[in-house]
Amino acid sequence: MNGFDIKNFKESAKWFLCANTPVYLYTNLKKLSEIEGLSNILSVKDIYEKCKHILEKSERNQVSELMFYIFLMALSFKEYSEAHTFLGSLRNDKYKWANSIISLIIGKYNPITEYKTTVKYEPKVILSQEGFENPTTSSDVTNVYVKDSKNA
Amino acid sequence: MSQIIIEPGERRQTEIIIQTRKGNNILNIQEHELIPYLLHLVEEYDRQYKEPFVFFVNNPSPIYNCHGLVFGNRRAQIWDSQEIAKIIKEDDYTMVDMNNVRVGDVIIYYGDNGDAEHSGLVIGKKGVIPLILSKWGFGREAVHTFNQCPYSFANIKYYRISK
Repeated sequence: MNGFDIKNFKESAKWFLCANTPVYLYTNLKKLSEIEGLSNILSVKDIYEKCKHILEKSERNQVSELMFYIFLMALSFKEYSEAHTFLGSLRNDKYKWANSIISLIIGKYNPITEYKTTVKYEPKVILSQEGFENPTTSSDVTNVYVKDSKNA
Repeated sequence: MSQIIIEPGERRQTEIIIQTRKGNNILNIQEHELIPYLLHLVEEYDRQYKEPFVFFVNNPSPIYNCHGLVFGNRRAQIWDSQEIAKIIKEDDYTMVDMNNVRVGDVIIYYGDNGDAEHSGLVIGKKGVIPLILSKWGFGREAVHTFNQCPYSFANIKYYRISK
């Protein structure tokens, strides 16, 4: 991608053109691979810097507005733990739908599902009366009951 | 790091006073210029949606949107769904069944989350199918059957002014 030109985001621009509400724009940009692709090539900090850059520029027109929303939406593909502080600090009154879209992005996250747990030992649930204790299993790991097919 | 390419140009935005019948202000915005790239994309919609189901009328305009056409007499964009809900309540609209729809009724297209993503005016029927006059964002006004537009028609409601 040679520069971030609106012409590389034609689908986003088409949705922006016919959007009457920020929710509609959010819903349709979220489905676009061109925005997910942008999220894949840029880090959270890169995206944040782009947004800040747009906010600080003197030019303020529909292109800068749409580019701002596109970068915001790229942030929505990042993990909540990484993105939420940046999202909060991008709230502004310069672009009319910015705050609505930021609220939608934050609202759609489900932080509980983001915690990753590593399962060291897969649990095996077998009723004790159906099996016997496997003597070869090391007691410092866990007791594993193996179903005895002969006595079942 | 790649640069963001933004055409130069300052945007002019204004707000006017639009009120409900009860005298409460309705949040709105007017924009006075449509950038050439978006203007060019309007033609894509012209190619995608065609007669006899869609007739485009008027030129593209960023001053008003669909809700501005229906509830603001083409004077401004009304973009907040909460404002639409306020208008429906404070202007005494009542819901009507699709079978009883008639000219002058209002159609609202709700998204999955209750967002009033589009609205239009019923201007006739093609058989039993309502014909709608609406405006597509910054784009043009269109006369279309209710299900020929880039908005979700899974949850459509019709309203009529009750008095």
